[in-house]
Amino acid sequence: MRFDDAYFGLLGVAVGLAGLLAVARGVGLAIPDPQSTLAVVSVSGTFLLWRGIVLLSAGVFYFQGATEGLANPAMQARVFMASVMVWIVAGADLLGRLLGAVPGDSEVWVAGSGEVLAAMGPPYSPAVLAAPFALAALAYRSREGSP
Amino acid sequence: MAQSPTVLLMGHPNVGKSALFNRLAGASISESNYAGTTVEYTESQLALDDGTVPVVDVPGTFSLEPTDRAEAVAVEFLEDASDPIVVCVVDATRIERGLNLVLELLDRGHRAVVALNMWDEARQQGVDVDVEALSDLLGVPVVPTVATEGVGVDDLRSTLDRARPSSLSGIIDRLPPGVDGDLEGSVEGDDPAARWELVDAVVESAVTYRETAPSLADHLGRLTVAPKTGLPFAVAVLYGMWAFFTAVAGFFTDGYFVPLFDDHWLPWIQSVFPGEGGWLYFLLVGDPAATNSFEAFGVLTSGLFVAVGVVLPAILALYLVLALLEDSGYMARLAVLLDAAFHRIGLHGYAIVPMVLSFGCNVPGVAATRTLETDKQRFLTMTLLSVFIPCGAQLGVMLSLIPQYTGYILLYLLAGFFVFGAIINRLVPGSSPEVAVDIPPLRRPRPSNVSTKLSLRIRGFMTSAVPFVLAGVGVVNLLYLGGVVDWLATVLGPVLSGWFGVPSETVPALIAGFMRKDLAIAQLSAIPMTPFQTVMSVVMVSIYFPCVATFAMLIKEGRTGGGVLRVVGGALATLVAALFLWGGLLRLGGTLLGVA
Repeated sequence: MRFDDAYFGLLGVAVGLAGLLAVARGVGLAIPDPQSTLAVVSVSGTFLLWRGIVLLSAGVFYFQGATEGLANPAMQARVFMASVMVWIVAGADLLGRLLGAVPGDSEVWVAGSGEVLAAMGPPYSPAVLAAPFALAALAYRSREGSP
Repeated sequence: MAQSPTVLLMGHPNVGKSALFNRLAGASISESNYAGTTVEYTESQLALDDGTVPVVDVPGTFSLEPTDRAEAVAVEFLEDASDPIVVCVVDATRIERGLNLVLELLDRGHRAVVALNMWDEARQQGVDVDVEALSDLLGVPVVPTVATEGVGVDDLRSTLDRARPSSLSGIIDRLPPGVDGDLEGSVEGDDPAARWELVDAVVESAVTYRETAPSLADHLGRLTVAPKTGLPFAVAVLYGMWAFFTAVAGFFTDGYFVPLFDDHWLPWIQSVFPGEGGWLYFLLVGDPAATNSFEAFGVLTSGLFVAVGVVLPAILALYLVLALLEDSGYMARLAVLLDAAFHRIGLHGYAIVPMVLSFGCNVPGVAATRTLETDKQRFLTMTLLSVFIPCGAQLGVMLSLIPQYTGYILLYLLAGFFVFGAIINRLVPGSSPEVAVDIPPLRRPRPSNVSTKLSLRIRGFMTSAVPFVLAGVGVVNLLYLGGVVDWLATVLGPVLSGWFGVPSETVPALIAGFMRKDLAIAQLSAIPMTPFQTVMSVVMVSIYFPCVATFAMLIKEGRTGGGVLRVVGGALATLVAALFLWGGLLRLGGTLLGVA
């Protein structure tokens, strides 16, 4: 087994489970937010169901890529697509936080750096936590040139 | 050149004609990575060594036998121009298809130059074209170009004075021995099969194909159109699009424009504007006791705030995302994915293009229906867009005022789009032919093109929208002053409260909705209502009469889309039915759930 097979297989399991949890909470099942036991991660907020579907799908794509074998360029593309999906959700989350934190009020037009940094601090959504690990998929792109 | 003949840029849709036009003429027109960007022609001047000549970016056409309005415009240009120089732009990665059009043009005796565009991608994909051999065979100059990078553009410009006609029999004569088959003398005239045989012979003589492994982009491109992988990816893209739109619009509107207008501009203008209590004060400033810019409802308060503080950020965010989707080639893939759903209402996947454009503004959305094949499809799309698709400005105001309901309202309107589409499809006679959807390659969006597209659209939108918003506030205030609003509220009150369950105070918003729907929703925010009444009234304003700009576009497009009476009458009949049935259904649902 190649190293990347194992890596993206594990990432797929983690992302998929996070997506499953988001879907379950998104449809209203009484499952507690993991923030209550794990302060750094929170599965909550708007469009939770949709974000959950995206993460669950990304997890499945990672897992499929790993099990089919990442020596296959078609599977590399599948993993790359899963990473793009994770980045979209994570990017939207971070952008929302940042743009929500920057404006002050009519007296202070730009909030202080401390307030902005506090808004960007934990807890994070699973997508934000997974996003750096998903960067490994860029290796498939750089290996053969840009798409 | 002795005279100044017009240079016509012709070719299939999505082969880079607009990009080449921008490079040749130094212009800034919108380019997209999907078919049908140019549904209207654009003209500029092309500088040559001995002066300037007119150059026209002609709508894309697959052949000189038009099958839709955009193709008909292209052929009319060719027929009306006096001895034009035709630059036939060919996608070098799909050279066979382009050569077929080249042969058609040559067969009609036009002077031509062939621009082999996307030359770089062709090489990457293993398509090697012997340019010299191809030029010798065709009997006209052939220039490799990469329009997006400006490669080959100077060569093309300097080659224009060598444009010349050629004949198909001459091409057959020049074919090398062994590849001409039984073509001799059989290609003249309109014989597509024989012309394709000649294309094959030309390609066999001048083009070689190397085996190349599919790139990551090729694999990604396939995954995005396969339902099992493409649909989840589409959910991610649409979620990202919506999240970006809400974050950016909220940043500017709630973060800056609301405090700017409510805490500074409104109190200032209320205090300095003379004649409080007079009609001019009412018209321009509105309510002197208002504490926020949505409620003041004067031309210089609510009008300015809605136009600049709410609409501009929303449109900026939405058009930026749309430009990225278009330029990347993803829009066409979305069309393929949604093809089955659109077939149920007599359309095909490419109806997503006018639909998505309508989320920015209904006006370009209605104009983009020109790429649809039949009058029935155009009528269907124009009607459904103008009734059920809220524009970006309206969405911006909805997000600002009722963010918690906006998603549900949007879903309800989209459901109405397909339900009424299915009904109209059964009622309206006409054909809905199958079409082959052309999928462009996935490409990295080019910042220059995205920014050009964004600035052009923002400029166009603001110059058309801002006057309507300001005029809309003025007209409603004048109707207030004249007592018309109170009279209409009395007359329509029973219908509004009886059928829709909303207060008669919504009448001014319905009037304002004809000028601008975003303005109407802003006005609704000042009326005390229950949450369900708010949702109900926003849905009513959305599916009620299209705004005046869209209405004008319906009339304009109706002339070529089945007749003004048919298009406008059909749209009005649909909106009345939709308003009462779809609106009434929502009321019924609310009543059954105990929330109405």
